[in-house]
Amino acid sequence: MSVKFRNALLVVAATMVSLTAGCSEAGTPVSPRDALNTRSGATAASTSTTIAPNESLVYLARFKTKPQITIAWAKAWIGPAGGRVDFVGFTVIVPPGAVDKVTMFTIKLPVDPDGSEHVVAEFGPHNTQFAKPITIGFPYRGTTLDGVAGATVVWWNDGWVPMGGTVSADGSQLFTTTSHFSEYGTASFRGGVITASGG
Amino acid sequence: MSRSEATVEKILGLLPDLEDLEVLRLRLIGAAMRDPDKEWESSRTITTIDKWIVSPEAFEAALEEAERQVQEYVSTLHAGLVPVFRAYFGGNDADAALHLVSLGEKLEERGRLLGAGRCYRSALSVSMEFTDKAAQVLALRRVGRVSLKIGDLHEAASYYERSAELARDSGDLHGEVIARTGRGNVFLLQGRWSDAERCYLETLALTDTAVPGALLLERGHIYNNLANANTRQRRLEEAERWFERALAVWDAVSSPLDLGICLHNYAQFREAQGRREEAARDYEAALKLPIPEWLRSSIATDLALWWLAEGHLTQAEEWGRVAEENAIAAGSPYTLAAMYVGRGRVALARGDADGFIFFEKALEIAREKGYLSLEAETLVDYATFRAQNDGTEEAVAYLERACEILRGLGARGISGELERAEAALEELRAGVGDLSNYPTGETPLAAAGD
Repeated sequence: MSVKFRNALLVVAATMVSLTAGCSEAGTPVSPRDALNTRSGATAASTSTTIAPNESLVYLARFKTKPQITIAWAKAWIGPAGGRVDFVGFTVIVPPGAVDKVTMFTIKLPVDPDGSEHVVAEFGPHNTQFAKPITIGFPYRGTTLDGVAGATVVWWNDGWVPMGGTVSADGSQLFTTTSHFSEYGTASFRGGVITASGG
Repeated sequence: MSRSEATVEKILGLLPDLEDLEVLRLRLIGAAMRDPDKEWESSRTITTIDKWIVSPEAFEAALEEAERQVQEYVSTLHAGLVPVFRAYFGGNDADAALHLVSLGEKLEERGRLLGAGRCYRSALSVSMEFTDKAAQVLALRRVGRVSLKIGDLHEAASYYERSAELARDSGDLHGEVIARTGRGNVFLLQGRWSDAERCYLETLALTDTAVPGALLLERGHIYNNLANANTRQRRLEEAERWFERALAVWDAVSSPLDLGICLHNYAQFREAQGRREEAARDYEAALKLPIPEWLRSSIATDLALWWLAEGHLTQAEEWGRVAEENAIAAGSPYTLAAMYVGRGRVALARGDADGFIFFEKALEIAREKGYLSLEAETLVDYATFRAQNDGTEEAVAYLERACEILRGLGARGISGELERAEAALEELRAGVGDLSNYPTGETPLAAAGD
């Protein structure tokens, strides 16, 4: 399959994902520098993704084959009845009663060469405490975490903080739940056998 | 009926239960091979060494080699006693004690840890009445070290602390630094990363009070261990700075063992960075050095998991076997248990239902020796395995115990292990969880020591 054709399919797939999410839209790719370095002034619908600083990306899992996407984000309006957004292996599942009014949920991916090879996304809306835990899912199969000991979802809080995770029954995604949104990724926290010097 | 071979289990069952035959037992295990008739059985990959086979020819060769080794040991033992008694009859009791320590070190090098421990304790008894505390400081430290290798962590901590206090009271800075580093190593093996780091930093501050240029080797040890403790706490930038300082020491000081440990830790650090190819190169570089079996086994265990992560199960199993052979030769329960957990994970990845053998063996050792962190991590993996094989109730019980241990160790937010265990427990209790592909956790600990 040619790269051009694959890209076209991914665009179609991304659009279909957006459509299945309901009243959703897809944005254009963000600029590489903005994606990694801009940490303020972003809104849910803006095209400026705020992903954790570049040096911290090394902690995160990578895609074995980087997804060729031309659309870097997806959004969906979800109300008190609940709903879901799926985007390139990333998922948000909103249970009934999690929000009390129609709210825009977003999934944004970095598009720069460094950031986009990592399994990381910014979930929105920010600064909202959900009444019920929201389930978020990440690509697992086809990433460097597949089969690795210590796979966990991590969230950015001036450093990546592990929060556990459960692999789906079909082994395709890693899931966890959260009551607020931020930047999330996946990582392995396997430490290896301990050997110490001296004494 | 004649036999062309027998399993290790059968042969060991025939041997009288004499401590003197320990070398022969290890030699027989070393001579064992996989049974070629079972090469294509589905369970072959999880077969432990006791199910391997030994031919009559291999048995004869092992017997000869064991006899030679025992003779060499007896010669070493008796030759080592000559200077002890010469010093004693010459009226120099302090020298006699130091020669006893030296004899213990020779036994320790040969993997005879219990014998080494007895020599150190004899030296300790003799040295108690001396005004000069140097021999006592050394003997206490050596008991600490051998206890750590055997897996008696409480004993190790206690002896290292006594050694450090005595060294401090007698103005022996060098002795105090080494003993405090050993105390930090005990914390490290318990999985108490922040306690280990604090202990190492305090000890490093002590080395600053020495004359410039002194205690370089000891500083190198502390840099290694600080790098390791920081890697465990995911403070990778700090870890890298400590590694740079450690590697600078091993450039200036020739110590293959310490360089091997440093490269092993550095490889783990590279894995934490996601630089997997470089990690593999560092593991392999460490294996090329003349290093003892316990370290070889630890590295092989990590390499097995590295290959597992790459999706190459055959290589993972091969490295698992290398780890097992070296762990047995090392005589270190910690190394052995860590290796069994590694092999259990390979079995888990393959979906082998008989893989429970590995987890059971690891748990048995961890409980007997008090390796709390290892026990908890094994329980989390084992729970995954049990849940996968219709043992939901057992899985819940294992996860509850794992959470209890990890909370006691203050593990929250450091390795992610507690968070993983709690999440899995919640899923299972809710009855909606599917742990069939639940990720395994932190690789357990292995033997430490110099």
